[in-house]
Amino acid sequence: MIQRLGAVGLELVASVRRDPLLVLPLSVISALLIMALFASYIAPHSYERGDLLARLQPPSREHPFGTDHLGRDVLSRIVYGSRVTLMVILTVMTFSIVLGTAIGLAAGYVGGTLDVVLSRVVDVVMSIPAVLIALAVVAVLGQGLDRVVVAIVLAELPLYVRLVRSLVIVEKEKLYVEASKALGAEGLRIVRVHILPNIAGPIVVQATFTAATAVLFEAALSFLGLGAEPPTPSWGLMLYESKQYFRIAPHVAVFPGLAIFLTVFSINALGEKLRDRLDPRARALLK
Amino acid sequence: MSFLRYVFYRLLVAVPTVLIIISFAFFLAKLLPGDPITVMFGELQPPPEVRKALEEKLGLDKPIYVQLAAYVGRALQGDWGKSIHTGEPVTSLVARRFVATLELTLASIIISTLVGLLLAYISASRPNSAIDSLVRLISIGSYSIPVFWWGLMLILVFSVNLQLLPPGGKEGWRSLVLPSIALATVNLGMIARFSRAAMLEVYTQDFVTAARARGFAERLVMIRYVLRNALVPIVTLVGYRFGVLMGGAVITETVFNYPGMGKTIVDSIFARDYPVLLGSIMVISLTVVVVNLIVDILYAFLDPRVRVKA
Repeated sequence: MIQRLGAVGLELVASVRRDPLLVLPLSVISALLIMALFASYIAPHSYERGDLLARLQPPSREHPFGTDHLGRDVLSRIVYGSRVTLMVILTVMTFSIVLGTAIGLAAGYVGGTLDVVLSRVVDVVMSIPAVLIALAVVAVLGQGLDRVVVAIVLAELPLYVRLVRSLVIVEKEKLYVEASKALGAEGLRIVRVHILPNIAGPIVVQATFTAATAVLFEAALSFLGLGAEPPTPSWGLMLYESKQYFRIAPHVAVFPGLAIFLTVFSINALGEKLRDRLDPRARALLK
Repeated sequence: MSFLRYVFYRLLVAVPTVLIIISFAFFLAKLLPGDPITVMFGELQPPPEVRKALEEKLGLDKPIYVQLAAYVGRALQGDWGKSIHTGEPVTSLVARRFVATLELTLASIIISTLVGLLLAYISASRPNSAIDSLVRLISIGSYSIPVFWWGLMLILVFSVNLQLLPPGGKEGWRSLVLPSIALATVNLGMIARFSRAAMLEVYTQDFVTAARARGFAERLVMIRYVLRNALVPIVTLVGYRFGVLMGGAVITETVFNYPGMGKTIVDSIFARDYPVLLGSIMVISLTVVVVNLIVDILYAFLDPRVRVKA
């Protein structure tokens, strides 16, 4: 395990040397992880308690990113907000990968009527803009960060079902699958031992882009006032709260937005690199 | 498959899609908190016998599939119910707001296509150069920007500081400028990336090399041979991006207080005005289906290979 991690580390160093443009994304994502892990050590102030006598203060030595409308330190809220972002990324990725792969496998491997019905539903759902699906889910379930996660997963799920289905359909016809069937392997074993490892690459790539989408969607729903609830230090919620004040105190909007942008940009940039490495089909298409 | 048969086939496939979308709206209505009668009366709830009579009158006592069929039938005839708050028919309310959203979407499609094509042209002319990498960075940046934040920043610069343009509302073309720039910014990256790939694919084909061998200037080769032939897939992508843009418009509108579908949807969620919410979701989804259908047909018309595959 440790050896493997070491190898991954070495490879990272090598790819940064080859491609200096990776420095920014990798530093942003490392910073995000460090902030989330050590928020209480890094943040100079509390994220929920503010000084009402020091409201909407511009950036200063005491408050590098200024204070918000309740006198809370914006930098500290952004630092703690990395936890919200990371939590959303991890849960959305896990659920969409697991559920999407399961449904996609069912459609692609079992085939038949099940495939026809599932594909039809996926087609229709994909013709509805993802934002609308997320909004509809929030309308049904109500406000809150956990519901936002459900909303994003449901909006992302069709992508995985379609991707996994198309990969499985190609993979299950290959000779080695037939060979293992001839040797008496059962369906689930074939899927687990042969098909899944061979289609993992594109799924991982898709998952990276899902991480970016998850950050953007959580921020968007919170910005609309339908996501995280106060005083959660969600970056999107910070922007929602800034709407009334950003004309007189621009810093309350500038910094949380920059945090979202840098995070999404870094994830997308890494995702593109991963795609070049792991997904030969896309590589041919987007050279 | 002949072109007409292809068109017929695509239209046929669209019918179940439309029916499924309307059914989604129906089940969504069933899932939403509060049944219609409770919502109708608000604070003063009626006695049980009145409630029962109303349920019979509205058909709420019938089995769910009968209700579904009735709902789909009414929706197809254009009866989408009335706003719970203003009593205005949903169709007329949505129609008014829909035009505003369409204006915003179209304006940003035009801007993002022009800028995206320009960027693609620049980077495809010098593949793997420094400027190509720069365009790549700009593109990734483009689809990483949170559109609502970008909107606030544009307001800050162009309305608050420079006082050039209105920060929102809808009065004349000037109030359309900032929202459509905001929405175009997040869309142009995808168009630039895809167009670059499409151009490079044409770039290596024999007829391009032949044109170059005949001594045509590089710019002429790029425009007359490469760009023109790459245009078909690009037009298709722009068409398919329509749905994403409509979704983006929903969020952009709330930033600029722009009276379109986005504001309607968000307001209706807060006000629990469900007929309006469902009507809005339906009309946007159906528009996307129709646009995709048109793009499919257009694509098949321009590129006969597509018809064969279908």
